[in-house]
Amino acid sequence: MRLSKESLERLKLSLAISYRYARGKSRYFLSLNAFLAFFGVFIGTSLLVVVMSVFGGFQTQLKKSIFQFDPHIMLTIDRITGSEKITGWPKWKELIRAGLGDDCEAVEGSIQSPAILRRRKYLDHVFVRGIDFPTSDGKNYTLPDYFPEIVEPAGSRTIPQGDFAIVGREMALSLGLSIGDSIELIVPRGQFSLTTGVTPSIRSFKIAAFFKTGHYNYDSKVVVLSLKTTQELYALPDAVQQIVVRLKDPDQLAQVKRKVAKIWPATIRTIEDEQRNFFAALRLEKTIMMVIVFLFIIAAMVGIVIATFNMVRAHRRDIGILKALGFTRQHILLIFAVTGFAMGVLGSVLGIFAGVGLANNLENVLHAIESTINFFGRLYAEHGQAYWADVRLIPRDVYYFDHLPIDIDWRLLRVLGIVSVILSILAAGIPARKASRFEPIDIIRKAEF
Amino acid sequence: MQPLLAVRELHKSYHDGEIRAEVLKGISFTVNAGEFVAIQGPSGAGKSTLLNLLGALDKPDSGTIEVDGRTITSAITEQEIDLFRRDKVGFVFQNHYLLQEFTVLENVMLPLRVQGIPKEQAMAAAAEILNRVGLGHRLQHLPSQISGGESQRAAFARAVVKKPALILADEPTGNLDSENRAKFIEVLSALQEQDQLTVIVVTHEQELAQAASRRLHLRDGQLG
Ligand SMILES: Nc1ncnc2c1ncn2[C@@H]1O[C@H](COP(=O)(O)OP(=O)(O)OP(=O)(O)O)[C@@H](O)[C@H]1O
Ligand SMILES: [Mg+2]
Repeated sequence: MRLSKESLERLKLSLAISYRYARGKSRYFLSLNAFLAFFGVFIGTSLLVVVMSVFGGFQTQLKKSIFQFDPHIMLTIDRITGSEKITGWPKWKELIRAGLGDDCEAVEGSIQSPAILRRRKYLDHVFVRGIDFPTSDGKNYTLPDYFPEIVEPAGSRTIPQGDFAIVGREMALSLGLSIGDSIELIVPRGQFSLTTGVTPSIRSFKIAAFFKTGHYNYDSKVVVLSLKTTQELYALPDAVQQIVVRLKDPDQLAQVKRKVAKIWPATIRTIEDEQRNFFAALRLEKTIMMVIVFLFIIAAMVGIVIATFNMVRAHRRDIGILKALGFTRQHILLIFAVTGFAMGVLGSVLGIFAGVGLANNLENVLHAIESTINFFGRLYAEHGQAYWADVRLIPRDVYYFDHLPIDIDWRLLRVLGIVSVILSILAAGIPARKASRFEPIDIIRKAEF
Repeated sequence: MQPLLAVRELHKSYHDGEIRAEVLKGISFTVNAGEFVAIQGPSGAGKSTLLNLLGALDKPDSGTIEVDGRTITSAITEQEIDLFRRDKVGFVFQNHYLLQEFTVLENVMLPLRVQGIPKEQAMAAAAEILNRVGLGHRLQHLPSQISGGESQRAAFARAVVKKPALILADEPTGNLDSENRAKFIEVLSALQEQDQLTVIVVTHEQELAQAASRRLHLRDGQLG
């Protein structure tokens, strides 16, 4: 449909009238009413984006630390303890690698088992994880890419072969361990059996490095050894307890699990089975977050409804006159809806951008606020001879992150944008539609009787 | 010659709960192009009701109204009503009803602008008609900045600027003092004569009625 020249003129006229109404008697370019509607949406969406980004950052960080360190799919023989030995595992490993092709990053044999750690008089239960590290020169193991960051010796990616262990940073802190210190691990030897029971095996290890996943449970409880050392410790020569698979894309978990099931005849567990509660909690959090997001936008849109409604109420008489002059319902609808709609869309789009900008600089912003508060606090303390303890807005010892994690979910932002456009149409459209139904006769009668 | 306005057997009643009051009981009359007709009658006789029907602001119970060869009563669509109001008829009410947020000039431009006439052209035509009603010095004023008499003449200018087939005025001098009333009648008569406007005016006032070329009396819902 092409717009005729006359229709275009009428459109321009309606927009001009709309703007005049939106401006009202204000000396500025917008009336307070319209500005507040815009501002409500703007503040609402930008805060929302910040909250969502921080929240998403925490979630991503948590998820990443788990996916980084834990095997994504674990194959075992018995279902209960997962400690039955798998002999001939290199054959299985090749079979599975061939079956998965490009989906997997690595397939390895592994031993993961509980153990007791002893350091002088201190005893604690820990989890030993034997990883099949590759070696390049026959003296050192090279840590694979997926292995967490080594914090001491910082940035190192090799450990010596032999009886060396890598422990988490938190464990090192709580036990006061330094590189080169010794720990002892006490584990059950070989297979459990009813006739002989459990024979313990004790062995001493030197600390080679500290790792950090960012996940407290791992960083305080896991002791990493090379697979070969672990096999010796548990007296399982040439056998492993699990075959573990790492995926290139963790989102493919369900599909890959189905592929593995065609090859592996016994128990298959995925990271989501292992951490069911954790993932359920993440999902619940996300759902609740979405609900809050929605309520947030609705609240912001109420401002638009009110502004549009006020504009209509202040111009009832005008509507009657305009209609007597031949303005159609559609023109009236446009005149009263376009301001609220523009405020809603502008508010959300600018709000989203402002939110992204704020989220990306949140640490700086928080630091600036922190220093401002502390500056005035100290000033006050000096004059009032009071004691002032500096405020810290990101207490590093409570949050286990060095940086405030920020994850901006562009897909969610797009949804947010679309939802606010739709809501803006409704918020401005509903009162405007009511306005478009006023008739001249109502206004004239009211005034003359 | 075919009349510009033909009204036949117009009936209109209002329902107020249980009570049904018949206000117009079969009105028929015609008005030729260029005529200036005054409708008089006691308060409550139904004069405003009749005028609202003629301007398609309201719908009759039965009967037909034909303006300029177009029937505006039975089975008229909303779109046709909008077009009729836009192109065929100009209103003046007892209150001027100027839009408060627009200047006098902008108010008078509105009927042309809604017809799709470009801004410059509309502005020239509006300024010209405002000059003719004696408001050439008030173009950029807001309605709140001019007197009641000036406002009513501006409202008249707004009604005639698009040169409609029919001009309907309901007590246009009802709120004016005698001086402004005389001025309004003078302007109205002058323009009516010069442009051969077809005007129907409802009034209580003899002065205005005397200016008309024909007077109709509405009493008990019928023309006499
Ligand atoms: N919407 C309505 N509902 C009920 N009754 C109405 C309505 N509009 C008008 N009336 C009644 O219809 C009758 C005619 O009203 P109308 O306004 O046409 O009179 P009028 O001749 O213009 O009177 P006036 O000279 O006082 O303006 C009156 O009795 C009035 O009370
Ligand atoms: Mg009346």
